[in-house]
Amino acid sequence: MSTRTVIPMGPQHPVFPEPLQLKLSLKDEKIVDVAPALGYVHRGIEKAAEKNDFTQNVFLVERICGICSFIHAVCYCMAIEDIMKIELPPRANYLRVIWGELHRLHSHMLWLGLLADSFGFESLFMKFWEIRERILDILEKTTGARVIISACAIGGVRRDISDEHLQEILTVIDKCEKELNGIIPVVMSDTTVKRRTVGVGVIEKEKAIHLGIVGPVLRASGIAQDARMTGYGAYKYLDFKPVVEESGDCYARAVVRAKETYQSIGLLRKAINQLPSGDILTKYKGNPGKAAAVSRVEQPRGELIYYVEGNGTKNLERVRVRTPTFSNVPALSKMLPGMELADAPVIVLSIDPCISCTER
Amino acid sequence: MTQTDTQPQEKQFPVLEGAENITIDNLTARVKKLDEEGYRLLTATCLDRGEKYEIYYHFDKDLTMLHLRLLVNKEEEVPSLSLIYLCAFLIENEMKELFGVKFSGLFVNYGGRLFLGEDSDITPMLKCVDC
Amino acid sequence: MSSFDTSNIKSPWILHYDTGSCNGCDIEVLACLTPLYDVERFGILNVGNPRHADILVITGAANKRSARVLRNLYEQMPDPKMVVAVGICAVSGGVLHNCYNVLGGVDKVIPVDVYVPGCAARPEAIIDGIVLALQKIPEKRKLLKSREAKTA
Ligand code: SF4
Repeated sequence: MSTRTVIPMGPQHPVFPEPLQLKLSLKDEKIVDVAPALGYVHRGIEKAAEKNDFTQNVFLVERICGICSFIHAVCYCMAIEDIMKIELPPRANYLRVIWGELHRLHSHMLWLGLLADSFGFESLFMKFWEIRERILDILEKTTGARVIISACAIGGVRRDISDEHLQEILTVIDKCEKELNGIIPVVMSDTTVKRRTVGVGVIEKEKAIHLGIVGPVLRASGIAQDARMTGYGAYKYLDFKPVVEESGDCYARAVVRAKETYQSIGLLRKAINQLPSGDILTKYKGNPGKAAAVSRVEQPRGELIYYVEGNGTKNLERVRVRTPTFSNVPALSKMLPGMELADAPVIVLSIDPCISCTER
Repeated sequence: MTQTDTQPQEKQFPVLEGAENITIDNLTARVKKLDEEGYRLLTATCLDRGEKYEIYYHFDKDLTMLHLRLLVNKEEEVPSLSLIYLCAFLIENEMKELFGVKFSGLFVNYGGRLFLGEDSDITPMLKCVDC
Repeated sequence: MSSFDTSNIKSPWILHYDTGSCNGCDIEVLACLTPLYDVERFGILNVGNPRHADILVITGAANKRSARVLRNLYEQMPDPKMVVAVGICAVSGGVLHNCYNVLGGVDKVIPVDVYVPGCAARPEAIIDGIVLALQKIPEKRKLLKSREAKTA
């Protein structure tokens, strides 16, 4: 076709905080085809995880992604605990849920902010990030770090949360909830937001499974799938119900994430109220044996899967990481065609791409 | 968690519990069936087993996982699943690039340059024999 | 001093590029722009165009593919190109030093003026690093001038 032009979007693009490149084929202003080009963040962490000691890997896998780092560590530890048959003390399970949900909370706020930024709603962006800082403050208070908290260890968690801090978490999330009540309705009902998101980048329920999508994107297409439903860790005691939306467009994805922020706040309250006392770390001896295990958890962006295989030494035979964005990227090739070029940033953002996860 | 495999040449490697063995010939048929039953393809894991590749395909339906285990010689071509599950193209391209697994009928082919730069070493994930 | 010389000290524009970071430092750089830290009160503005930028803020260890892009961006920037490497990854490779696709710190690719270690580097540290880069601008400009004179 003579009128087709190919526009490379990225790797350095103002809307994406990360280097993702999309080669968009356009006919006039309409996108007809898209090819994602990756590789700007590939480091080779899976191989490095084979070279390191298996206890060091906890820190390495946290650095796959700086936004959901704690959840990466939880998933890796779960796989190792499965291989070595380590039972966790109940308090550790709950603490993992608390930190995990705090991560989800700040990640969703980050995303809601970026969404607002992608269609030029600067003040909403700032507002979300302002609230997000409060969550980071809690993380800093309880662990000493804002982003990569390194609180997870094989056999439990490295630190306890004191009663004072638990109380403080409760007051902070109350405050956050109040503030969110003021701005989340903007995302859900403002006409300018709706104009940019409703009916944009639709994925129908029937196609969703073949595209392999996971997480909020899948739930926005009407499929109730959430790894937390398997009840890993302490989730089995928290009566978890996934958030599901039907329309499958960018708007539905925003609504799913907005509702999930409230859900996380609810889960945090429940977990803190039920928190049992006791040990936080089980001691273990030796190395992972010759065995393999698969573990999965739910990240803010979707389902995370680890395959870990030990060989009896302190090094592991294989660590395989399947991150949620890796599964969501193929869906872009179905969302983008037929849309206007100007919609591309919003659509790409709607899957909440985390390129450092994707490429590891 | 695992049982040790009885076949002599793979004795030293563990097998994922509950994994179902398949071969190149019945892979496509089996996966088609799973697709009809409503399974989601989660991912595939490739392992370097000396002379062979061991590939696990992980599926999920209603929160239960199902694993298919495929052992292939390094020169053999594995049929691509990307025509059944579109999402497989990225997984398979990754295996092709990092392990050098050969696939037939890949839907989108990055030509072994998905993650790595044009001048990088190829198949970095293979076990290094002399180190 | 011309107004051009003072303006990029009084209101420096930064360009942020991620050469392979884990996102941890990225979001901290972004956090600098948001209300709590608000670097805009110092006149610091985040821009997307390398031709407008005075300071290049880099996060993440360089890999082979991003090194090419990085060199490209660096060349497009006007003099004096100040470069701030944020996070231990960008400084030396850090925890990722033994990954096969990591070249090491970004100083393997382009010259770096300010190093901000930390994993992730705190927003305060990042702001400090940028301010330090600003203080180094006159010095670097002098250096560039003398070099120019020599070649002429
Ligand atoms: S220094 Fe740490 S937080 Fe920053 S990019 Fe590197 S691993 Fe991530």
